[in-house]
Amino acid sequence: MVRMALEKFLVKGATVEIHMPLIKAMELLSYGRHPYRILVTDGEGKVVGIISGRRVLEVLMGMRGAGMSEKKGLRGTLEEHVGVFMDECHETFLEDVGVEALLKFMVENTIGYAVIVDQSMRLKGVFLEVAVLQRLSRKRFGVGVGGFMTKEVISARAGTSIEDAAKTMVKRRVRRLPVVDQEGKAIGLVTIGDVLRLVLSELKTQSWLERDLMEILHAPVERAASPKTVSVRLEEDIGVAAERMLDNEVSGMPVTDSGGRVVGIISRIDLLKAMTAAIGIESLKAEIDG
Amino acid sequence: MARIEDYAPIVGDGAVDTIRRMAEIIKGEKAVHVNATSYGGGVAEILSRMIPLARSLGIDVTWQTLKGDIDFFKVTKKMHNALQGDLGASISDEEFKLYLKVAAENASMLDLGADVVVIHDPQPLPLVRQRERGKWAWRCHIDTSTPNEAAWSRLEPMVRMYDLAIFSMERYIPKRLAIPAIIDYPTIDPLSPKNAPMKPEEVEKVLERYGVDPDRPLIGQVARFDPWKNPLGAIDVYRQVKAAVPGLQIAMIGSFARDDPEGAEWYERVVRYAGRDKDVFVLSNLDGVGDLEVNAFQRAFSVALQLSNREGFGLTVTEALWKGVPVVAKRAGGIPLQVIDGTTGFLTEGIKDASERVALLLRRPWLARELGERGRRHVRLNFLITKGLSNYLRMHIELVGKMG
Repeated sequence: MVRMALEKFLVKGATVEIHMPLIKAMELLSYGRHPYRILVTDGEGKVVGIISGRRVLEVLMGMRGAGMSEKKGLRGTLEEHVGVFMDECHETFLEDVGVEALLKFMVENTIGYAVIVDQSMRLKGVFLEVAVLQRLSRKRFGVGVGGFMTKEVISARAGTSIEDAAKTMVKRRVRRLPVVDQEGKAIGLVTIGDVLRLVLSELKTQSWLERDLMEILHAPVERAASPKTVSVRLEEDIGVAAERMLDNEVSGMPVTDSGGRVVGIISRIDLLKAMTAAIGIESLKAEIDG
Repeated sequence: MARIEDYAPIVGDGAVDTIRRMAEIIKGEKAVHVNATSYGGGVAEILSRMIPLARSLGIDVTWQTLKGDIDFFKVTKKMHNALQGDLGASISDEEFKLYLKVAAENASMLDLGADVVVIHDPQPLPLVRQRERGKWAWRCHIDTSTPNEAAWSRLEPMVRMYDLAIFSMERYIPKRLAIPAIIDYPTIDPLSPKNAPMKPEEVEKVLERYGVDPDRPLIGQVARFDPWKNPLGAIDVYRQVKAAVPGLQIAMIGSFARDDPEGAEWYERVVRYAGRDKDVFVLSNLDGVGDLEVNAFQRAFSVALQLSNREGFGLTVTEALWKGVPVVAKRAGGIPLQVIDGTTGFLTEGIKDASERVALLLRRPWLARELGERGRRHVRLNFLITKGLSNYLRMHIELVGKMG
């Protein structure tokens, strides 16, 4: 049985069966409030792995599964089953785990999720950092985002090709890039999910030729990026940042200075770490339980 | 030797079926793993279990090791330290030449004609220069997140020649790596002599053989004798706790790998630091401590210590947790993935903090039992060999482009 305290935090979590084609995972990662990772299950609903947006993007960019693409082409590769591409899941917990243990695990390791299973590995739900932030976003902590953001900003200049932006996200292992103008001001944000969605929608309307894919990828990054830039200023409270992220359904956003220049990036797990540092794990747990 | 079906009761049928299906895809394919040594250290240990298991699934995989003299291994040890961030370690042109020369000699002796060649760690890295066929992957087991730039720039052109790099943790990936990288957490084999169940009387026999009193509490650290592992810190913790628990004993257990000339020096230092205290046991493979003995000692620990300042993943932590022993550790490498503070052990900042936590667990055996049990479950779900084997099979399939 899932502990009551834990149950209210769990979400169902998107899943794909291990024998489904990779493109199915790509669809799930691209549509609606697209999740960043999907759990892979066997025929009985047992968790056997996990697949992330980056993993699919790597395949699309020819940076993974190159041996396979050489033989089968990209189309064939996308028809290959998810089991070949997934990763092992190392963030699995039994359903009797406590919320505090999960919070500590996520904060210590900068991991935004934990997979909850029963004794036979059947999925019971996913514990996400966002579920915790939802209960804390009205709170103010008296701490600015500046101290907890990633200061090394990896961004894409306006006009950069989608291909280059995608390669940067894969190589530098980031999920999002602010798209900036000449002055370093954010004019948009592009995420791995955005690229997957664009590629998928284009491919669906065309005849699945690699040539078409290259055409899409050579377009400027603005075509994939969301133009509405949600950002937070350096000195704004971490609670404000959380609220803004949740209201806009984004998982991370640029941090700007008084001149509007991008000086950092803050993500949901950064905020959870910041909140834990600000009030301590016990108070944090009391807040979200209340 | 264990067969894949032996793991089903531990990890479930799903994981075992997935492995079988992947193995079927690459049946008959040839793979080679090369590392520096067949004995000592975590890499040799992982390979000694993984390779026979993969072979039992019908994959033609072999494991080969480098041949080199002491000078070669001195250079590679320096390289190892430099890649882990030791700014003082500089490799002269002459040393680098020796490194390349020995690797080239080895390349002509080894059988590297395979569909997939996996090279482990920096020692055999230059073998790729003699690559003739197949896909090549570099499996880096050490923390290369902030390498000594001079050393990294010497190695980088060779790393570039690989098709894929594999790291133990996300943050170990060097920032400007030019080739695709994947993450493969190290894992332990629950059926190996080091981790398989033991009868209490077998454990007792081992303790008695080394003069450890089975009726008094025992703590210990299993780690190479090496400054990164902080063995002197472990003895400091023992001394602080002993003030409150006079009967306390500590076992410091390490092994000497052939490619680790620094080990002997540090072993001596630990022995000297222990002084004449008869309750401090400093033991190594030279005292006949092998896998079975490590297994017994870990099972006998009331609390396991891992006070390393730098760790790869920390597989000795995984081993202790698997045996239901809570771990008091510092936040290094992959330890926080395993030791969840207050749930499977305690994460500590320094000697005083660690001593308090050890004392607490000795006072409250029920708490130690609870944390140990949770630790075992955490390892069962996340860090057993079946996951590591799956990763290798999947990598192979992907590199050669075989389909189901």
